[in-house]
Amino acid sequence: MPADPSKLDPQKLWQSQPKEFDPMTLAAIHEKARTFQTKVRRRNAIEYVAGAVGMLAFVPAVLQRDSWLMQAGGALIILAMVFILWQLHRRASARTVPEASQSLADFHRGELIRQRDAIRSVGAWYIAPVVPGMALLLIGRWFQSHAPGRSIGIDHLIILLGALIAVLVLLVIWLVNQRGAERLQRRIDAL
Amino acid sequence: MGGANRTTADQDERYQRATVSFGATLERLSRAYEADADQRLDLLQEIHLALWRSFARYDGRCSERTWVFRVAHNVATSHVLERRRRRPQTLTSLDEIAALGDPAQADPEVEAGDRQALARLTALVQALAPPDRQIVVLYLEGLEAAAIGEVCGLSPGAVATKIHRLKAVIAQRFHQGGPDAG
Repeated sequence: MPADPSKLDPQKLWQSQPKEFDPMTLAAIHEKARTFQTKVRRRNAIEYVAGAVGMLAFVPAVLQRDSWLMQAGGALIILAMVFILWQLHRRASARTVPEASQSLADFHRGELIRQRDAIRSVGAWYIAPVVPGMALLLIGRWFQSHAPGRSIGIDHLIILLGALIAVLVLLVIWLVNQRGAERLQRRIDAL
Repeated sequence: MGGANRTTADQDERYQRATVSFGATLERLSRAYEADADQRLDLLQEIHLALWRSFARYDGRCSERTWVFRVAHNVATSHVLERRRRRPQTLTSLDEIAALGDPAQADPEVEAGDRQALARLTALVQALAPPDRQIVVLYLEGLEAAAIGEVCGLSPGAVATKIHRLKAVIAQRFHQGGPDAG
């Protein structure tokens, strides 16, 4: 503490801090910008490859000849994955640089609202698109395609279990995201 | 946004001018938002990169100083929000912090005098939620209430009220108990 605390000048004290880091040169900034662009491109490439691998998993369903419902379901799921990838890309690129033209209050509130909306609407852009394709796959499997060497009863039981697991996974994803949206809403309300 | 190959001399010149004028300010600002030294350097570099990129679309609608503060605080706020998402941390408002204990208790390693007072002030700033922290940092940098209001998007009256509360908290923390309080 200073000898006489009543003479403490917080502004002077704050501004008296010693410098800790060397200043960045323009060349270093240019290099960092290039690295940043490379990172963004690499991140996008990984997302696209992961998406392509996921889509490949449904190609057999499209190519099989037993059930046209399963073919349609597989095709719809591939389309849904393209849509989800586009949504992820759109939402990620929206936050790359904070808008300097925004005031701090607007930016902070905007960031929280953007995050809240993204996870609150996860049902619309992440879950709903895969539901029609998944439903067609299951219906096609139930009525038009049966596993060889298995009784119809056992086969239907397995399909029901698969459907139940899929519904539960989607429900948990939705619930976790709604909880997150509620937490963000409380922080927005507190602003 | 364009990459480094689409830079303009104007963008580079504005950035260099800003770093000369606000380099030390940006470093102090990063200290207000990040206690860990390694992460602070990352944050500072992130701020510099965002600033350089932002000057590609500087439109002169506000002063360069306001622009620099907005970019820097917005990057730092994103940093805090991202860190809180990964590691939940309780941050408080100026109103709440007045009723709480001192976030920086006396540290025997810290030398007596201004250095200890600075450590306590920094801890106080770092414990604040982003909206209040932005105002406090800008005040500590010596900006007037009207200028702070322009950067933050608040009325000068609202800023003045916050500054009044900050002064009260500082008075409570640093003046009560005299030199032995820390």
